[in-house]
Amino acid sequence: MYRYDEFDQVVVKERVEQFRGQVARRLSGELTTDEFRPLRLMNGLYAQLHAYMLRVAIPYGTLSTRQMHMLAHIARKYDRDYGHFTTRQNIQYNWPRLVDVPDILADLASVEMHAIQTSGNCIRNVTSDQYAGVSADEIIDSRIYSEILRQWSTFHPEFSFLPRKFKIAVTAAADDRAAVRFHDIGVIVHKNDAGEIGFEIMAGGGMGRTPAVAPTLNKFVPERDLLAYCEAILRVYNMLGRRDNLFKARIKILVMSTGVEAFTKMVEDEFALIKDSALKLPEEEIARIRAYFAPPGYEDLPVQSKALDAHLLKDKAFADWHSVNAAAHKQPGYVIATASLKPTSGVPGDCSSDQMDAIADLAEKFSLGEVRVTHEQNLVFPYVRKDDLYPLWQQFVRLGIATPNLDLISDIISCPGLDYCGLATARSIPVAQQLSERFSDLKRQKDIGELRLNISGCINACGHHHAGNIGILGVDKQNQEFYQVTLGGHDGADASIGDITGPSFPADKIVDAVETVVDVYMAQRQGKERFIDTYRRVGMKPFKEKLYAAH
Amino acid sequence: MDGTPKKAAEATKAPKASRQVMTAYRLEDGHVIYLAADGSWSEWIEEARIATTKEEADALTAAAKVATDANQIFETYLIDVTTEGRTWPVTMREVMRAQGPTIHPHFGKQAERGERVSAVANAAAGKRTERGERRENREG
Ligand code: HEM
Ligand code: SF4
Repeated sequence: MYRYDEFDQVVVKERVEQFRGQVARRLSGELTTDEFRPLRLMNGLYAQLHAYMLRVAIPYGTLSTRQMHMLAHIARKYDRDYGHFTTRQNIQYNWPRLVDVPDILADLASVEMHAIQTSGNCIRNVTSDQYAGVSADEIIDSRIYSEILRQWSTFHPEFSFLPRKFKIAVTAAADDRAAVRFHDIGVIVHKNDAGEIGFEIMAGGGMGRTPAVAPTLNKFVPERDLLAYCEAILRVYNMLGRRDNLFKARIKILVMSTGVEAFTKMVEDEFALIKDSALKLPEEEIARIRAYFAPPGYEDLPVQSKALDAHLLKDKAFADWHSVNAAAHKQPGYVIATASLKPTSGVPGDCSSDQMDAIADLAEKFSLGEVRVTHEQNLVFPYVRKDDLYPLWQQFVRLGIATPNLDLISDIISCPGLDYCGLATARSIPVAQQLSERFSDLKRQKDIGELRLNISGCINACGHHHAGNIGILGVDKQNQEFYQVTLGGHDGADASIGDITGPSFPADKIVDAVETVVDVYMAQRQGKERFIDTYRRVGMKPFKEKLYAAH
Repeated sequence: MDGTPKKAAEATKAPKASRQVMTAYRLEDGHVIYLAADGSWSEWIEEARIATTKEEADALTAAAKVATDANQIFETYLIDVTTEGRTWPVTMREVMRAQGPTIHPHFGKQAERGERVSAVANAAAGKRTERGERRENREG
């Protein structure tokens, strides 16, 4: 696994001490609210509805046991005994005291973590496929390129005051698990017929009030040119992106207004100018980073595990969980296991200090000391021996993280909503909780099959509702919570944005409305058709008819 | 709040309900506070000083500026409240601030107040009552 090099370590430690000084000067009055605000945001410290909120970066979602223990320690010592894993593979603490934040950052730095670039108009935490390096369907470990991008974008002087925040996601798998087409830059790793690595690069995707699926600018940028091409995009954006209107400042608006062709031409022109500069990635540099992600010390194991097969036959609950939450591994004898942070009635993404500590211990024992955070707000154990899966699952059960609902209707992505967020127009988490209760019957969920349900508490769409097969958006109608429903959003390779069904539903009707949508799907689907495929085939009409039928 | 222009609008709204209190965040821990009747800053909206006239509201604003300048608080603004039964905010957002997240009742202020109700149920109850559609208040 990647470890910060000495340079990173020194810089991060310096930043902590700088911030300690800034906090002291704020408390003594040397810095005003307005002077302090950008400084705290540069260190991931937001002011939220009830308190400060600290967002900690987890590059491409990868955590070591030590780091997970530290996250637990911070939640326990400085916060209210829990943290919230987010759709950007980060963690947020909801109750830190300003006076404690320098100590928290120092604790984080001791395990090579920080909160830099988790806020502000810079390049944010680079996200990636949570199965990177282990999935059977990938070309190469996408974290190699995520890391190259991370190093390039960290403290990049030219790009620390962009028109708006900038998010990059990378995948190298056939099945896009990183929603790359909903990012400012999306990168898909390909291999050409000559066996060379290259990148399909898209730009201008995003959620928010103007959702967009990123169009492809270039289908195959050679490996050595990754940074030059991204830099070219950023330069064009930095120059031409709007700074006068917050709502029009994202790169997607620029791409929409110039048109994809014109935008691509500007990028290609800039790229031609800089591709032979210092941005060209030397072979040795790629090799150096690749070495960080060298396969861990796998054991030579047979493909089949007798122990696993026996438990699958014997224990129905385990077999049910296995069929949903275990994924194929590229290494024989190993399996990928996903722990669900979406228990029935739970808060999607929340994890207690005790759970974090226990998860870290389990990762140490059963997953070569590594855990991954997913953009669906779950936790992945990437290196589990098939022989160990049963005892691991038993511990998941004990910890309440064994709900077998991966990619099912109760595996809900939810933003914090009005329960925490200063921008919210309605709550989102309670809706997620009620839905998880309504659909708690696992047999029914499995019967419904793959169905992504995402909820946002306002139009900023942090909860990815535009990309949900069923999306729910909270709105405020004369001081009442209402919920708009969208159908047909999807974040896979064939990404699409959901269509609004019609007028929104009051809080006490939204769960019924979702159930109606599901019923229509079940009645309409042919064979094993997924929700998204049925929707694409039959369209909005049957759903709308049922949803708004006169009572 | 970070990145929102809507707060300003809220803060400058004319006191139509003509009952307002001053709210802010405490610098040291970022917690929600209200300017209390005795001039201190309280975590409890029930203790807030209520302005019913423009002059009284201006006095609250002046007091908030003093505390801001003394680096004790930040993000000050006036909010509308009702005083039926007790002092309580009118908008969902402010009810949430006064009470704490509904999903973690044991972490928010409602734990100390000993409440178990949904904050938004309260806001809704208040609002509907105004429109004459009385709704059961689930408090208790
Ligand atoms: C609680 C404080 C938060 C605030 C104030 C906040 C604010 C915002 C804003 C203003 C936007 C829209 C940006 C734009 O369109 O230019 C946005 C987008 C987004 N946020 Fe948040 N957010 C918060 C929490 C979160 C959390 C917890 C997550 C992860 C679960 C998250 C993930 C995202 C994502 C994925 C987007 C959409 C992607 C994009 O277009 O940028 N945010 N957020
Ligand atoms: S979608 Fe809106 S309510 Fe939800 S976290 Fe983002 S800004 Fe807050």
